[in-house]
Amino acid sequence: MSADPCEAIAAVAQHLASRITAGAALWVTAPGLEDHARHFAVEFVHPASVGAAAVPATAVTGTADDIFLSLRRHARPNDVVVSLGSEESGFAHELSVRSLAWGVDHVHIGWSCDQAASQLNPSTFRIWLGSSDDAEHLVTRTYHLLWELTFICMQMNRRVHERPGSAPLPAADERTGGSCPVCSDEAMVCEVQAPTVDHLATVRNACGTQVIDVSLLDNVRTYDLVLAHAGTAIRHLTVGNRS
Amino acid sequence: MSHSSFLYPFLDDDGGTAGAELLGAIPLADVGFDELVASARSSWLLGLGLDHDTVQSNTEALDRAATLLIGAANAGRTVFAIGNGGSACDADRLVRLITGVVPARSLLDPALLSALANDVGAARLFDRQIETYVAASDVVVAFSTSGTSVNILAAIECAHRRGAKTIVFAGYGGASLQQNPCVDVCLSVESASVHRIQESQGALTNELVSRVRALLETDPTPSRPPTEVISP
Repeated sequence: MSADPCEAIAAVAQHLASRITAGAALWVTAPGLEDHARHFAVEFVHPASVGAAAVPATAVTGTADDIFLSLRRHARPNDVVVSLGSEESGFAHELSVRSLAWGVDHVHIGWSCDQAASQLNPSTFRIWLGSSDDAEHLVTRTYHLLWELTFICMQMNRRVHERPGSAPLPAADERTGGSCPVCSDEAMVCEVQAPTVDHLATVRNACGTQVIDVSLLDNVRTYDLVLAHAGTAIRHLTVGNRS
Repeated sequence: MSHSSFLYPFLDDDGGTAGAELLGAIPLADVGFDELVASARSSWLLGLGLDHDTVQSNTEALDRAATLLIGAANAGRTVFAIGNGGSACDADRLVRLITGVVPARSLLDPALLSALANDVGAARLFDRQIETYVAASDVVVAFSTSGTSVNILAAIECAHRRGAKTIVFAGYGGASLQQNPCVDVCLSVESASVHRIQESQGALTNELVSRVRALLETDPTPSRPPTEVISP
């Protein structure tokens, strides 16, 4: 089934324009469809010759682990990571959760033949192209329009009037990603950065880097994703097709 | 008019109405979310219609292109894809879709391209590689939106001289490539918008790959030459 992605494209364009104006870089991923990742980046970097500043968009290629390693090192808070592709591989879901820990925005342009397999973190801004692999051929039109509208938004002296009721994506430190199952207080998605010592682990989350207590969890390893509350990891997070 | 208006006419700085091609005559200061959506939808539908019309108007050319690709596969030859910028990515996409059906590769290695650009010049990016890699009965597939890129024209001429077949994807109705004697098949898009051209070239690519697959299903045992076994 095809979809009408135009509202989502316009909304993402507004947000990209805002983020780019504030200095964000774009990181574009498409495992198995690297040609699309590179094409997306080309559109935003080129053309610089018309006087518009080139947007620092970079295609990040390789295996899923290569991509996560690269993004972990290079993406800074309030940057935007973009994924293109089917949601069935689990890559987009994993990126949507890790984005919370890194404090970056996540935009996903995708499709899924299996609606049940299609789940992204709610903070991800999704441009949905339908429930068929045939949707792949619509990706190029989507990022072309995204660039065209983003450019228009950036060209204007002030932001496009927000559609009533449309909420922009929150800033990095507002995207905490969950709530404590015990007290319903705020919980943070954290990515473990260093092996644990004495039940303590250094983690990265939307607010930066901190040391938390992981004594409630077993086998906490580097790059695991955990939910933390009040300085304590309360559970492991399962992401994509792996835990 | 900026000097890039040929490629991106809607980028011209005309004192506050830039983007007019996308948004009609609406002054940018008055653009709201609904206008952005309407602009996106207009371009989206325009593109879908162009995809359909393009495939219809290239039916015969698609058949001939598919036959050339099958011929290369049956002769044990290779398909080489080239393009600049976004078209380079589209060339890689063709290779991704057709590999496994027809031996195909792109001539887009960044080390080679930067070496050639630095030492020889951008105009020679592809013909120098074609001189090196391409032989008679191979097929060179070139993606160009303008149809006038100097390095693409040089590549086509070089491929033709070497006895290879050439398939060209071109915008602007095929530009001058329709009459170029070095072009065996021209798949043309009747548009002057770089983005819409590339998108419909993607639709042509899908259709071409589909036809190649269909032809192979009709004749699943191509008469490939026997593999030469070299004794140690």
